Amino acid sequence: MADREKIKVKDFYFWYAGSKDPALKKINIPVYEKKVTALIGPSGCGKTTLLRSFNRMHDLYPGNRYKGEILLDGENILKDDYDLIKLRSKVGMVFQKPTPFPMSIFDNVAYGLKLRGIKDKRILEEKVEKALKQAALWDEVKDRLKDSASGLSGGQQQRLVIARALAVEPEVLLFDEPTSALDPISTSKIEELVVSLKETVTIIIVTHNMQQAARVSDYTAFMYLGELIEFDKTDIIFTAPKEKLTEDYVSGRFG
Amino acid sequence: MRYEERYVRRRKIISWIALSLSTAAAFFGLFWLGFILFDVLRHGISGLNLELFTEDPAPPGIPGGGLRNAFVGQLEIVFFAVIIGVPVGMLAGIFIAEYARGTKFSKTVSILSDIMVSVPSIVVGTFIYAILVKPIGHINLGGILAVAFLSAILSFLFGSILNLFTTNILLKIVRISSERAVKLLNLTTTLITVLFGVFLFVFLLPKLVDKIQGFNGWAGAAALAFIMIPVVLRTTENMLSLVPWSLREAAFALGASYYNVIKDVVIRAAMTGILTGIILSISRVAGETAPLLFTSFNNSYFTTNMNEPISSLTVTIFVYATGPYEDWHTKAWAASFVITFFILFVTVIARYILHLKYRG
Repeated sequence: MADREKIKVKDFYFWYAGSKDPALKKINIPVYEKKVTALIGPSGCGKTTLLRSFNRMHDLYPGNRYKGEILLDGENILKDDYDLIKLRSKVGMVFQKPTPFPMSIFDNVAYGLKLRGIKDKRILEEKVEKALKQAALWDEVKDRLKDSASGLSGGQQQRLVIARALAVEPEVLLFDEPTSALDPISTSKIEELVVSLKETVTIIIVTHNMQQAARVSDYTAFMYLGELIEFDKTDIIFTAPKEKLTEDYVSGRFG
Repeated sequence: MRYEERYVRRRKIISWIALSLSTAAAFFGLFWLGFILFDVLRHGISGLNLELFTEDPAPPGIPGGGLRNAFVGQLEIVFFAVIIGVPVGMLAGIFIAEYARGTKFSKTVSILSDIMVSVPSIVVGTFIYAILVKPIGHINLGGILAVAFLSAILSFLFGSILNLFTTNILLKIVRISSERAVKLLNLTTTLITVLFGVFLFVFLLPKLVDKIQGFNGWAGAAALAFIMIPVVLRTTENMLSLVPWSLREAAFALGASYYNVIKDVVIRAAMTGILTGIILSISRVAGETAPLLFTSFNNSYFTTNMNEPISSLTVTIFVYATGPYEDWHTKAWAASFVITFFILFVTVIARYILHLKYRG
């Protein structure tokens, strides 16, 4: 059975404010539902820029421009009147460095729910517990939910942030190099988590680490200098890429 | 070998000289600070008694009595200065650091408030005198402008609180988040605020013209608020800009509006610093004399009516210390003692809060 396209990027260009040359050129890429798609490529290739277009994070900074279409369930999210708050509740994001809010562990996870107007304490507790369990953090924090989130270790903080994103039940989850600030043990926990999460959400992950891409993803897109070089199933990209550039990169013969 | 040894010794000597000079400079400053504190303590403590706080001044030249009027007046003036100065300063700081971040306008306001921080406080006093003391009580252009100024400040405060309130209702209870709705709401609150200001102006004009003649407590509070606003504004701005951007992005990525991002995440992360700045600005204005000389002036009788001249500790110290009576001098020392140690206490608390926050 063919995988369903959750997101479709069509002839997408992106310019940073004040820049004449596009940072992304004519990107065409599908993202399949409930699969993990990895974006790989050398520094500055535009993979993070592309990732941040999926929840229109670029809109926070004036002067950035888009061209083309990004269809989420067939609807173009780049339209001017597309509600960003609605978009960001469908498309969650986890950043490179853990970003716990200055509040308790419980309030961190409940924050997105409270934003959506959920006040009932029982519902909040239920959803927070579910999200923390999904993020494999529940056992470590269940006795200290009232404690400040800044007391957690880096790996725990990152899983807390994932739980916070999961609590609002997003359809898509974006990961921007989620393990680059973590030790190997925390990294492997996050990787296991990413694989287990694809049962419920569609995942796009940006990573510098090619082994990581090979381990967690179903599809891989290789980008270079703002262009998409190759997109295919992960095992094909890593074993039988069609492009010479991709082969050089994944085999470490780059440059 | 000998060559190197000579240079090592020379460097050691230079280092020793630099160290002793800077130590001496530090002790020089500390010595006078300690001396002032000790002197205020030594002279002030002998004048301290219960009557100082519970009784009003006796007629000039007659021993006895206290400074109840000055203590109460001081607290009242500072209280109203905080009520006006903190919200205006904080909201302006939030606007500069968040909504108008990086714009020319925000940079201009930053520079202007830096200049305002260093304006001599007596200039602020004369300015307020010119707009809130001299013209008030007479129906002329100045008097009308004074009332307009007051109405503007009060309606601004009203509008800000109204907007916070209605935005909360819109986002939390009705759960509408579209930009158009927020814009419409802002327009409505602005309109209501303007109407409120006009109403206030019409309402206040006859009242103030009737009730206030010349020096009044409001002018004193306004002068102190004027000094507080740029201090609070700059501290708020600095503390907000210390909050890392990744934290704001994370909140945005959860679907928060900018209002929620600021209220729930940014302010919370910067609150300790902002609070410290507010406390420090309070301790700064609590010790001001010059801006009160022309505004709230002085009153030998007990009053809590802000429409009248009100006594304050600092002006009382000025009057008593330069007065002819021995008893006045003792009271001036006692008052100095109380205000100095009050400010010291407040400052130490503020520093302690900051220390707690940045310890880890």
